[in-house]
Amino acid sequence: MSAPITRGNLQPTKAHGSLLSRGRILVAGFGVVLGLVVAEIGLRFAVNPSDLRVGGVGGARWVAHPFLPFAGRPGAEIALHVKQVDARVLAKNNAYGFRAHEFPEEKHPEDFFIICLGGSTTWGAAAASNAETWPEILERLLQQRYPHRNVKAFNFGTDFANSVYSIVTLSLVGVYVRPDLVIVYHGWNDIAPAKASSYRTDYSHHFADFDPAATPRGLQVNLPGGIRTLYTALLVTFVIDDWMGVNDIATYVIEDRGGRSWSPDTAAARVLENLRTIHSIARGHGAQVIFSTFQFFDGAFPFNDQYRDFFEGNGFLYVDQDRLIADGDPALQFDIGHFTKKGREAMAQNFFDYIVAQNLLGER
Amino acid sequence: MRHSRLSARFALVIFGFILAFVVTEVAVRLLIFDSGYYTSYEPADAGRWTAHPFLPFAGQPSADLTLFTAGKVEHIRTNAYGFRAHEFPTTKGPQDYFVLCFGGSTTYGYRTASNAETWPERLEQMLAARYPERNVRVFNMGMDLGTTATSLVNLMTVGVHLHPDLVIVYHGFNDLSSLGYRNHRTDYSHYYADLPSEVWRGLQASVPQWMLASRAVHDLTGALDMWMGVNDLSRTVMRPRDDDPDRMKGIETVLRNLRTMHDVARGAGAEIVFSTFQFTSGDEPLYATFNQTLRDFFEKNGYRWVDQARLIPDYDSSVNVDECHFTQKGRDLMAAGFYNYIAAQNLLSER
Repeated sequence: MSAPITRGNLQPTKAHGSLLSRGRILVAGFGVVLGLVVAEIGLRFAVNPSDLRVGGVGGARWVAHPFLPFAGRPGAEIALHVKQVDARVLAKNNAYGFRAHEFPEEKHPEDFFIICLGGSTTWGAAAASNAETWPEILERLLQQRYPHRNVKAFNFGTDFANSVYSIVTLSLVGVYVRPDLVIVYHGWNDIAPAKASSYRTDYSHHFADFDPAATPRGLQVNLPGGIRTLYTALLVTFVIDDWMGVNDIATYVIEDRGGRSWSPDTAAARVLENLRTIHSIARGHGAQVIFSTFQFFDGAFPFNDQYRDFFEGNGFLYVDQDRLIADGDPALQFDIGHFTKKGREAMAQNFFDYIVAQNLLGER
Repeated sequence: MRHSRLSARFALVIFGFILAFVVTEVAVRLLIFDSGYYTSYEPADAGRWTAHPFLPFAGQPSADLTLFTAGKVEHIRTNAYGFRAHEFPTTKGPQDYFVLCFGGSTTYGYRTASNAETWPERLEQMLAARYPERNVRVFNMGMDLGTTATSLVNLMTVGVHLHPDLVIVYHGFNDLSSLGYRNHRTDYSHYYADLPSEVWRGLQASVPQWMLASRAVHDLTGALDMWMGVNDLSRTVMRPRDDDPDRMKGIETVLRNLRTMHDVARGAGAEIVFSTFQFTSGDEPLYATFNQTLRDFFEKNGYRWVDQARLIPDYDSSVNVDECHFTQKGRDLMAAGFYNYIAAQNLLSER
């Protein structure tokens, strides 16, 4: 016969179970908090917070622009992680959203201003800082060679920018810098629009406007201000946002409509018209222009021969980066078009050698 | 008992509502003769304008629109690039003479019955009559709210690819309104915003089509849309003013854009003719200063230009319908002003 169930019989068991579960929860909670504190302390000792910040398209990196499909966010400091080379990149934008020095309001006789137009290779994919992009490496080379001049190279390179994008930035922004020299390095980003069967000269078949309101902003940028001061929260959201591709502007602004119907001559001719326009703008504003062939890792850029014929046929200045930089060298390029530090130095060196040989600074 | 009284009241309300609606419908049909007046025709995405990556907005390609503006019918046909112009040719023969006309709504043809009555196409008719041995084609690249910035981009990204022989630039009113911003930027991002890919089209476009068979519904929703400014492109793509004490702040940007247009046109092998801007009240100090700045600039740089501001009379309601837009007589005067200059300078024979 079992003992009668009384309040006294039940209490110890209930109390025991309750104590156990509360204790477990407390221990687990304490462990989590301790783990977070240790992780937080460890992260604070080990990493720079800028390495953990997401420069997402909707977060900090890009803005809409009435005359461009997208533009760099003015005055932003952007930390990125370039997966292919596991590189940390810190980009500082000027007031116009370019990864460049602030634009000067005045120009003095000793100033020599250079504008470098291009895509992500010029912007400096995997370049740890602005100073390590090829335009700023070139600036230092020239400054050393011409110490009596104040040489400033302004990086107008933008991810996914092509010849049409650069026409617009040069005409609406660049000419106001009063450049002495414009350097143009375009190639990869013109191939897809130029060979599209839906081709339109204004590239509206290729780009769409960036709409921040319709773009996912990622997790990190939505963290409440207090939590965003925690390195662990930054780390977790950084990893998730990176995995989700929040940084990929191409997803939102590049349209690929229809097929490819083209010959290399036709497609190249479409781009060359734009290069001629860049030349007209720059020369009309008193600047020299240097063009370039485009250096592909596998040497297979389809327009380089047409570029050379065009530059020579029109008497345009150009540097044959495609011939000067070795193909297939992973020490120079980490993918089909982007450069390692050594590659960026080679780019800058080749432009430098040409500028010196042509005496472009001495002439002015 | 109470239930039936409620039903009766409800029926009475319904009857009253229907009666009011019928009376309104009859009144509208009797009193408002112009069925098109309250047609809500210009919501930003309703067929007329479209988003564009390198412009704040662009004309809807290949649109065929009939608008009713202040009681007048306006028929607009746009080409594949969204301009109120002939289709762009893909080839150019030796007899071809291509003219591109850049400007704002005065060039586009505000309240102009058809494409053929815009001043660019009137100019084409005059030139074709004068030079029958040439195939003169004048392409209207004007767009509502267009400035030197939109025209510069259109010239660079579309115009030069047409291999023009002559570029004509007629800008003033919209550029003047872009000046005097405290936050002026050379890329006009202080002035324009992108046309959103999706815009609320207003009440009239939102009600079911069958309801618009009622003139009362049609005109009421149209009037409300107009009152709310749903039709106004400028409310969608222009930023609010941030006034600077210097009303001409930024004028150097306008001049720089004109210079760049000159360089691009000349680089592409075309002549370029600029113009002063015809304001109805041209003696207003701001307008007079603007035009004098243009004259000085054209003269100093040795550019070709036509002084439309002096050639077309001020304060003449047979010429202008408002501060800047033209009547048909005004558009004919514009075309004649450019035609006389082209003929006098022998621009067609030179080529």
